[in-house]
Amino acid sequence: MTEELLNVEAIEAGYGDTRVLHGVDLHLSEGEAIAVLGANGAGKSTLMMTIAGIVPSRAGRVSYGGEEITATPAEERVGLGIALVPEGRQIFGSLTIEENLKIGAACLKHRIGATAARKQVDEGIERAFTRFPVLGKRPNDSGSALSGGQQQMLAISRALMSSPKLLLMDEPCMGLSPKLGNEVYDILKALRSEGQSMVIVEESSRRALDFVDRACVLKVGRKVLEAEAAELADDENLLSAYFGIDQAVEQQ
Amino acid sequence: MNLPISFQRDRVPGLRGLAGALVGPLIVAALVCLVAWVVYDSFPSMQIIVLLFGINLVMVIGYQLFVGSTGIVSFGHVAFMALGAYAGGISAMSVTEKSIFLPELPGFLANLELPILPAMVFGGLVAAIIALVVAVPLMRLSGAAASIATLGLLVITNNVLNQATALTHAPQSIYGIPEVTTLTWVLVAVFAAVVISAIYKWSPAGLRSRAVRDDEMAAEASGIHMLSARVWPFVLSAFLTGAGGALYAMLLTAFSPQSFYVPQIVVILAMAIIGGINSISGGLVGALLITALNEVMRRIEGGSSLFGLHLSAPTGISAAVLGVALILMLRWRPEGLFGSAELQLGRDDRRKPESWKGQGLVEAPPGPAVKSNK
Repeated sequence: MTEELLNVEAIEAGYGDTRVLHGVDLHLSEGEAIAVLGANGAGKSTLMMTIAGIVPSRAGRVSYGGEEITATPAEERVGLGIALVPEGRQIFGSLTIEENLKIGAACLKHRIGATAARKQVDEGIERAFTRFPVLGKRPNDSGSALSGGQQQMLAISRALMSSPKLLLMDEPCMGLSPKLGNEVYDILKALRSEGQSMVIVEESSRRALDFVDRACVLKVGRKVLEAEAAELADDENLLSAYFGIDQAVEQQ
Repeated sequence: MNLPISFQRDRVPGLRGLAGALVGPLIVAALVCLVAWVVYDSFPSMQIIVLLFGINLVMVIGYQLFVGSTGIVSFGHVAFMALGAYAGGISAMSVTEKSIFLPELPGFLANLELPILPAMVFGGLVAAIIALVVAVPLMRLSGAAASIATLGLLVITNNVLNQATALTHAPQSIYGIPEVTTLTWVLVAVFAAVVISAIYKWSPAGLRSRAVRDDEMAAEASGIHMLSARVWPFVLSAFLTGAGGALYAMLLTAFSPQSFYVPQIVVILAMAIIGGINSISGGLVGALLITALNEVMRRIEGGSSLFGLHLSAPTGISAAVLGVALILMLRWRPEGLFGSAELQLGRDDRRKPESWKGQGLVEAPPGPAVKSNK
């Protein structure tokens, strides 16, 4: 296989007295995409936030590019190349579109110096506006003026500002209409074809299976299944056995 | 209205660079200071009030710098005013007076005798250093917990100043500070505070603070060090507040730790809330309004004739009116008069939120508008 990018070993994490993850493993090679599926409360978002460093892990190891980062704070992980698009988008509502993008590149100054960072910020903003012309039309509008789908575009663009090696997408279609959800997936497919490594969290969507390499299923904080995406997509019974996908919902 | 001037929310000012960021708040500061100067010049009996008003402007700008960029309401900023007042006041006091009033001062302070400007900077620095020390644990807290912790800071500072008799002559008043604060110095301080505050607000560091204010988790996920995005505005704000405290000390020349307690923070808070807590321009105007209101009410309390009408009211009515004004404000315009807007040069070219609706994610094709399902 190609070089290892992310390796999560027996990670445990939670909030206060509640333990959410009970020893989850996840492996990702460079250029690979993996989908993490599971029902509500399975620990998918917690897993993403543990990889991003926002939720501290209580046991286990996270390594990235061969180096252990279990204790590395979130803001430094962004500098290493891990970027999270949080669940529910979480853009900065009172900041302008352009400022939102600049925040995504906050780590660059540290990594490559001020002059190079400024250049890369300009290029990054340019790229974001080329990808999503609607954002470029009014770069000085505040983020809260955007619709849900546009906010998701902004959140993705913000994460891409740091030129991440690993993109973590937490339920990219949450709260979006099926049509807008499809548009988001088109964007993700485009990123995939550019070779972007990513982890996509979905509650129960076959859409993700179309373009990821592998998928795993979480259930109450444990990984219960991991397989090649093609395998899972073919075997609908297998998936529905694990989290009872409503086929009707899936038909959308 | 087609003037190339407008009120705009937290956004990059129309003119490129620093000048664009500064011009708007400076215009508002100039207008407010002009009012202050005219009153100072025409009514000798109002001079002390105008000077105190100018010092309050510095306080409000310092306060707004922290609260506006972090979203944490501080109840403790008067502690920095107190520290600045004592540090600045003691540093300005003559060596002979110190040997009379504060014979137990440590050697370094006993031999210090600074002119007004260095004394202000000294007062600001002492407040900023204390702020830096307490900020590291304090700024890990968020929301109400952080606000209450700042109140704790005020209570502790007040107690320490009360007990540190060798330094503060407490619980009695400190005496002997030279009365050197003039209108010029107050106005210089106001403009300096506006410049510092506006530069910070539009700097990359200010942007990072505002991102943390909007969404802590997303800011962290974007690679922002949350603690430093809060610590630096806290320290900078303490510096401005401390410098204002030093000016206050060199105006009143005598005060006790009780001069810096809950009633003072209520006034600063009211000025910031009425003006708009995220806006420098708003803070300036809020301070002007509250001071005017206070002055009118104080005169009515004392019993005075206004336009041939004899008015008198029970003592304490000015505080009650302040409270009512705050309640009305929070009911009808909770974001304050200015909200998050600053006066800025350039037309307001933002799109109204509605006009974003109905547009696809990617460029909408020409022809019939893309209809969103949302």
